[in-house]
Order: sequence, then structure tokens, then C-alpha cells
Amino acid sequence: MFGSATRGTDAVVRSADAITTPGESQGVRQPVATDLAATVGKVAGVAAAVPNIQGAGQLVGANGEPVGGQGPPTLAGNWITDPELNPYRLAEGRAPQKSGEVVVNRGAAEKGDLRIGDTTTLRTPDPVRVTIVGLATFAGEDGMAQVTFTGMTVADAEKYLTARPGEAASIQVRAGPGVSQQELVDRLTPVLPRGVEAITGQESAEENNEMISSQFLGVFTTFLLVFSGVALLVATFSIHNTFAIVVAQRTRENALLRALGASRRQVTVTTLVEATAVAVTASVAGLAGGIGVAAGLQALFPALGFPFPEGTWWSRPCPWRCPWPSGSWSAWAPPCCPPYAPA
Amino acid sequence: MTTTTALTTTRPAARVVDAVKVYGGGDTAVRALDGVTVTFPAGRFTAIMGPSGSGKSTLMHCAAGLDTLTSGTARIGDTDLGGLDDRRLTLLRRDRVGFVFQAYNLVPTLTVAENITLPLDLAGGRGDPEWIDALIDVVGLRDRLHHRPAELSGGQQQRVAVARAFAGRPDVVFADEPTGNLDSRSGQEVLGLLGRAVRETARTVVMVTHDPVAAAHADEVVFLADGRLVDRMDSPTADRVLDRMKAFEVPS
Repeated sequence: MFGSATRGTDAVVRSADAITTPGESQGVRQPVATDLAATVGKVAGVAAAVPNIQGAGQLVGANGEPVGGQGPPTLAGNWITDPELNPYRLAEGRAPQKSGEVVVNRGAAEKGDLRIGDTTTLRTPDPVRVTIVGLATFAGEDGMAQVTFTGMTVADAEKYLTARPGEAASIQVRAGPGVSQQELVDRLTPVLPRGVEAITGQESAEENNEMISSQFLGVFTTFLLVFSGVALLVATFSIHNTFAIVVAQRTRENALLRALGASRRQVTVTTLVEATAVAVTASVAGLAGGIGVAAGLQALFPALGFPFPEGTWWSRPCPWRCPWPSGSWSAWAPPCCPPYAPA
Repeated sequence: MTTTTALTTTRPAARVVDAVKVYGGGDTAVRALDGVTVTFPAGRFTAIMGPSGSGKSTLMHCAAGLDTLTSGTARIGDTDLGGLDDRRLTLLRRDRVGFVFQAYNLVPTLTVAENITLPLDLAGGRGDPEWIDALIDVVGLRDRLHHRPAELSGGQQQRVAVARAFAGRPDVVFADEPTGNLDSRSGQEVLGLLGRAVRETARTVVMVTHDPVAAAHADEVVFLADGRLVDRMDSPTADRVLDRMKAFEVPS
């Protein structure tokens, strides 16, 4: 999702030093001067260079309540006019042209019951009266999950979102035709002042992904893995127990077969074949059920405002692997263990 | 496997010598068999009788190789069961002995025909089709071959079990209370079948029963009490067996 939203950015110019804290991969960076965008824009092979000013801005909805509450980040920034460099796309209305005009992502607008033309307050945290002139989408969705975004004019962004005017978090650069990301970075580096670096757009997207994976998704993935491990354990024990009972109930029948001349091996093989058949059938049924649940979740999450990235459930290995060891081990173990008395 | 059908009554089909079987241990040990020596001659129909708990079923199980003796020896023909490993014991059960149980113990998912040939199928052989065919006529189940056991009466099911027991032409067929679950008419049919099998085809049958009428179908009755062999009776009749049984009930 982030990859596709920032695809148009070929290079990012930013402060080289990051103040990182443990557990945070991206850290806080010094701002760069906004007018560096003009310098960068003159370098050969640069198609566009725009400052990216970032800050916090909480929209107040039509009912007077802040949109998004205490949950997801509420971001504000300058509305980048170059459509290739802006991860947001204008879906309705127009871009902000004068002070006080803003574009908000469509999801935030719907949540706050705000429409184009409405005037509301943006807390940056100082309250700013803004008029909504456009609605934006992020990578084709109504927003980046539940994050709200408010895009202002560069002047407003500098005024309200940064400590001092003339500072931006970074400068987004788009290469001209035939210039690769690496070539662009190589050309930019000589013109940059000390303490400022250029990285390719790809590296920037990877850093973003890494930040999100390591911080939020990392915890989430661990939680899910632990949870599925517990489920696997419980399932294994239940299946093992059930099958042990089934085998015990068969003792009489198995004893009869033994009395009629069946060898120990024949009885064991019969039970194992049955166990295998049951395990395969049950695993297929469980897998089908899991696919159904996954499909349901895939429909449910976007409905709740958490659109899924590219790739679907079947590209994940876990749902394919889990049922097999659980079913096969637990069904196979009991017939191998209990003693088959001859009578 | 010997396929002898010799009519000599002197050759033992099965024999136990000084058989002792103790269940459990310590204070709760139960001496089910206490030094029993008995021979079941080939080509004869022998009934084992005795009051409940006298050890008659235990004797049969040990003689048939379904259970092992604590001490003493059990033989089928010339084979000492005590010296057999699991595989040889399986082969012996497969080829040389047949069983008829009180509860029929047919496999409910198989048809009558499949139940009859089950021991042969387990052995992986085809058996003797003519013998099986004749057997089906003897037990009178030709029109029921493709029915399931649940669709048959108790007497019919037990006749299937008898046919199954004889399907592999075993040296000895052991029957454990074969008429215990049957009404008297069905019981008579089954007993008649066992008797005919012995007399007409020179098979050997050992039957455990507590019913004097059933015992009267046998050539010989052996009486057990408290794990010991206490009496034998040739050419029994129901009245004589009943009189002998009554003697056990007198408190000693």
C-alpha cells in the first residue's frame, strides 16, 4: 500500500542525522530548508521538487467532536501540487489555493460528516479555521487506514505546522524521463548542504514499511503467531483425545479381528488408513472453512476502514501449513500407542 | 497346516496340562484355573460345564490361545501355544482354530458372505470355494448372503458365525456360550449345526455352556468347579447333566 502510494517519488532529500530512540527505526530528523526545493529543482534531470511539510492537525467534525478521537494519527501537511509526488489523489473538489483552504482525505470527511464547502476547525494544536475545498484518496482507498490527513497550502503549512517558517520535513523529488532513482540521487548529492542527504524513493518506501512492520505489525504478527500456536496446541490435544477414545471404543472390534486371525499389523494399518482418511478430509474441510473466514475478514476489514494491501490470503503460507501437522500427528498417534491385546 | 480329517478319537485336537491361570496379584489375586489337565479329542464335540466363576471360559480362552496361562501348557494339535510369538499365534488362530461367540460378533458393515469369508480374507487366501459353498447350504443362509447382520435374526446371525468359524477348515472350533443369546428353537438349530459339523465333516468342537440341554448335544461333557476339573461324562443327556449340575449347588 505504501509502495504504491509513494511510487512517484524518485528521491527524498532530508536531514542526514536522525535522533532515534530504542525501538524506533525512523527517528526524528532535523527539518530542511524549504527553499532547498528551488535549488534541487534546478539540478539537471529533476522534473519536480517540492517541500514536504508534516505536522499534526486534528479536524473537528460537524458535531464538534474531533475526528478520529484519541486513536490513529491525525496528520496535516502541505498539499503537494505535483500529483506524482503526492501520495494522496484529489478525488473531488480542487486543491487548496489560498490560506484557510484545505483538502482532507475522504474517510476523515465522512467520519466527521464534513463536505466540500464546510468550514471547521483544525487543531494544530492551535485552532485554525479551515474551509474544505477538496477530498482526497490514498492509494485508491478513502484513507491510509484510519489516519486522517489534512492538506494545506505551503504557506499555511509552514505557518501552522512547523516551529519556524521555511522548514520542511523533507523534499520530495521526481526524476525526469530516462533518469533512474540512483542517478537522480547521485546528481543531487553534490548540491546539498552539509548534514542533508538524498535517498532514493525506493529506500524511503522501504524505511516506511520497515517502521510500520517493526513497530505495529511486528507486535501484531507475534500476537497472531502465539494465538495460532495456542490454537494448534488445543486442537492437537482435542483431536488426540477424541481419537484415543474412538480407538478405545474399537478395542472389542479389534480384538474380534485378532481372534479371527488378523495380525497386529493388519489391525494397525486399518486404523491408520482410517485415521489418515479422516485427517485428510478434516484438514480439507478445515482449510475450506479457514478460506471462508479469511475471505470474510478480507471483506470485513475494508468495511471497517482498514483496507488490505496487495496480496491475498492465499499468498500467506501459514493457513496452508497449520492444519496438516495438527490433524495428522494427533490422529496417527493413538493407533500407534495403545496396546493391542490379542484378546 | 495339517488338513487331516482323520476320524481317530485318540489323537488330541487340543490339550491343556496343569493349567494355572491367576488374574491380578497380591491380596486380590484370583485363581481362575487351578491345575486343570484336559484333552479335547479330535473329531469330537466336547462341552465344558460348570457354575459361574468355575473357570470354564478362562479354560477355553487359554486352550484356544486367546489368553496365556500363568503356568502349565496348552497345545493345539502338536503345537505348544506358550512357545509362540505374536506372529505365530496369529497364524495359528488364522489357520487352525475357529471361534463362535455368545454375542455373534459379526462385523456389522460386512454382508453375510463377507463375514463368512472374513478369516480367509484376513489370511489373504481364497480358501476352498466348494467347502464355503457347502457350508452356506449347511447353515441354510444362501438366500441371505447379501444381507447385513443387522437384517438377520439372532439365530441366523449365530449360524453365520458358525459358518465363519468353519470357513477355514480349522482343527478346532471353540464356541463360548453359543446359545446364550438365543431362544430354544434357534439354539437347537445352532447346536444341531455344531453337532453335524463334528459328525459329518470330522471337525472338533469345544463348547462352553451352562445349559444342560446344550451340553446334551455334545459327545462328552467335562465339569469344572473352582478352577478344577471335577468330572467327565460320556454321551450326556440333559437330565443327567442337570442332576450332576445340581450337585454343585449343595454347599460343601
